[in-house]
Amino acid sequence: MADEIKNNEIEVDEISAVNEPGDFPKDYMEINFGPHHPSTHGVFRFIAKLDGEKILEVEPIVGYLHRGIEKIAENRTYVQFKPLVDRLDYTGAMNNEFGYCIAVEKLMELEVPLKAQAIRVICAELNRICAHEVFFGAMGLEVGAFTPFLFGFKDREIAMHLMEMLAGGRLTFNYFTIGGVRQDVPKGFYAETKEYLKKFKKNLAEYHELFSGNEIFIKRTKGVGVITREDAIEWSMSGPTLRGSGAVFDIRKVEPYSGYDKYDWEVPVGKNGDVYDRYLVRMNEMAQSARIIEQALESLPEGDHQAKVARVIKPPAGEIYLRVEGTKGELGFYVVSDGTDKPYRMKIRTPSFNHLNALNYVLKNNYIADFPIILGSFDTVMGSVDR
Amino acid sequence: MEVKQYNFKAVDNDKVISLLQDKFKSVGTSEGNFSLNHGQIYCEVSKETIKNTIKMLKNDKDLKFDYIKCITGVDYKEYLEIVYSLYSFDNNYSVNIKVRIDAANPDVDSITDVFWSADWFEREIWEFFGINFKGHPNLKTLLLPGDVDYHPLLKSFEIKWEKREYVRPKVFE
Amino acid sequence: MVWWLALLWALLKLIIAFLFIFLTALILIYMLRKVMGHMQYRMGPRHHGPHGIWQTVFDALKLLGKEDIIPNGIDKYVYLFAPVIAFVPSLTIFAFLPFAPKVAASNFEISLFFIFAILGFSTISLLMAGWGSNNKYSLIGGIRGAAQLISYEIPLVLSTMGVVIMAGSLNLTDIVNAQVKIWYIIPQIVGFFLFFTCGLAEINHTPFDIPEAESEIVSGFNTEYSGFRFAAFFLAEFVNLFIICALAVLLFFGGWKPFTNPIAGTICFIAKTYVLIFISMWVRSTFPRFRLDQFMDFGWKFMLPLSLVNIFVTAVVVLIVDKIR
Repeated sequence: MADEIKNNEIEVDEISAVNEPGDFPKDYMEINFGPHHPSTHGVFRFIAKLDGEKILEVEPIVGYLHRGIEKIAENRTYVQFKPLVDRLDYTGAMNNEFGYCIAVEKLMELEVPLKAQAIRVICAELNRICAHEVFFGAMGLEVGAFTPFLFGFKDREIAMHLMEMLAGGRLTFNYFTIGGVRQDVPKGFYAETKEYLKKFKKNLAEYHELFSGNEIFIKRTKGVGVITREDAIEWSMSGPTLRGSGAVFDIRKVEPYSGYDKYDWEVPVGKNGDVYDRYLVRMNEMAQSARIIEQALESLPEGDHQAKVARVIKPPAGEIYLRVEGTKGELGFYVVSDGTDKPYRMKIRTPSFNHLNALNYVLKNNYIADFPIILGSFDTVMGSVDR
Repeated sequence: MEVKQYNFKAVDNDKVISLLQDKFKSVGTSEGNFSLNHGQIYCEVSKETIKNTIKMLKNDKDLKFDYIKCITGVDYKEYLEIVYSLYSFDNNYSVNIKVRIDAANPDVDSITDVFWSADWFEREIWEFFGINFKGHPNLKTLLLPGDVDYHPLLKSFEIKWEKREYVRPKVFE
Repeated sequence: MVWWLALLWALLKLIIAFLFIFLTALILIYMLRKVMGHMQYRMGPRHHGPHGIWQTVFDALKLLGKEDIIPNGIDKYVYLFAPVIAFVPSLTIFAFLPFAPKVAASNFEISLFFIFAILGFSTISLLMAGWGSNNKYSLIGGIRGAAQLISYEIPLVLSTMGVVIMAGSLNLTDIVNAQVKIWYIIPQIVGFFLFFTCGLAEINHTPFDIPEAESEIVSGFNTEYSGFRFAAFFLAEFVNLFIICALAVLLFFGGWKPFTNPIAGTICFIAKTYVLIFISMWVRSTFPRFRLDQFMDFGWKFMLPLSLVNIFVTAVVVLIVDKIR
């Protein structure tokens, strides 16, 4: 990287700061992590240079899950491509569809019925809860506690069941359509969702009791992997990572889509920009998501669940960059249409991609025991990095 | 580190365009060719001035485009195009800067020393479109295997089926 | 006694000890799965036998029946002997654990001292496994393990000195017999806390499972091991857990008291031990893992001074009480 990139605040030990090219000590150890390491969140690989337990430099290597989704998009119609969007960030599939659908709708200047908008918000927030529960579980595993993993997944199971009621799928839904959602909510969905939210709030309190206040956990995560707000912006970080660094910034607030401005909720934010703050931001975000779902359920308007759309979708020629708040951060779709039924170019900007870009900067001069925690605090999903 | 609240107010695009035009004039970079599309500002600048333009956009006090939303490459067959989508946290401005690049001789100045995050974006465009970024410190393949000799997102690249033989690695013998 | 009768008697003792150890390890693994399962809203093993009690037996058989994989490029003898050195000391310690009056394979004067001496061997096995595997993860794990065990052995040994001062003996049977009026947990509560914490660290138990931190260094020192060699490490881990808890019971919870009958005493002793094991499993399913540097800080800057203070205070109090009498 360029010379301007400075290290984290922590000073390198005097022993480490000896001679040789690249300021490395003479006898550093090069060690390979991944692509099938237990805590790299999928098939991510990096080569780390270690001085004892301290990381001198890491070189991230991605691309093991590259499926060429952007090229596939150019060879399929808008409708055919939609299921593939689910496969990007597979823990937050609804949010991916959300971004894609409203990007195409904006390109077509299509109005979505109010009811469909509300259903979409419910789905997206349910999925956000799911994704953050996975984060919670994974965070537990990364600091060596196994119980949070099962706690998180137990709760996620019920949320997935709710989404199964809507879409029939549990992980990849293909539920949103361009112009609305595929089908109306089934009977019993409201009651079950309300019951789930009640349970969920209780469980969230239990998570905090079990894990957030744990002395060892706080000791492990406070002051580790600190990213200042300026650096986070410089590295194009977004979502909970950016908010953890003290920026009150949420695309749902800044560029409200699908009626997010109608609901009353807050943007959780951290102060120190360390792993613990990112963790807490995600935990609090789950509570806010529950709040949004409650309001959306109460004020669900009557009407159609889908706008009238032509069978073959042909957006007029033009281009658009549209971003939504995905589960991990800013999820953007740059769609170029040439007036045919296939996108001319589809660029997908995923948050995890940029977070991994900054990995060397964040991991430098940290202990090797901290790498899973810092990597886990970004909550990267390799499906969305490699595309 | 204190918590920073950002401006959530909607922005008048015409005002931003006139502001940008002023700035472009004052700095002396190319004037730019502004257009509005679906409520977003697009602006074309020439290849030679792109780095200075982006530097100016980032460092200018009134604009402060401090965040890269996305860098996209597009292949229009006759020419290639790179779209820099920038965002300003303080002002809630967005702008998409476009650069046309000759398809026969694709190269452009790298902006890695302006924005750190441009690193992987540019690597990705380099491997998918073959656009050479002059001054990029680490131009290697990112998502594709290291030995590929094609650029898959070019329109001239055709998808074809190819049967691959499994080669047993020598390690096991 | 005739010499062959003595030999037979010794062999019988050995077989009983072996059987007991294997049974204990199997029960502990099963117990861990069940306890952790129920603490995590799940059932644990359910399929083989009622409530899955045969699960661990089949697991052990599977491990023993696996192919013995020896990787290339290893330091062969070091690699092969590391599991043995991990397992044999754990086995040996059983010879000195008195289960009840007269229920002990060997009863000699400095048994406590001897147990700690043998427990130290596990450090060597970790280092051997880490070095011999020719794997960087193993190496990091081994070095971490050695650092951890050495620095926690000191407070572990020192924490028992309070009890030794009070009982005036290093013989475990004598120590138990000295707890007539009161179990040593009450006057030696600090000592117990120190002993149990350091004991968990000594056997690489959560929250101190740093040498085999699976999220960082895959599996630490036993990354390259499989089949019955891995089983030996695994077994040693659980046997060590039993040993630490049994020692805690002997030193602080009055061993087989209030019974003096050998059979009732043994049952009482094992029951107390299992209560402690349950607590350690509770800890295991609740706590995250320390980082190595924090852990070392904790050991050297907190545990060691505290154990020294504990010895000092105990000694002074014992002296004063003696003088008054």
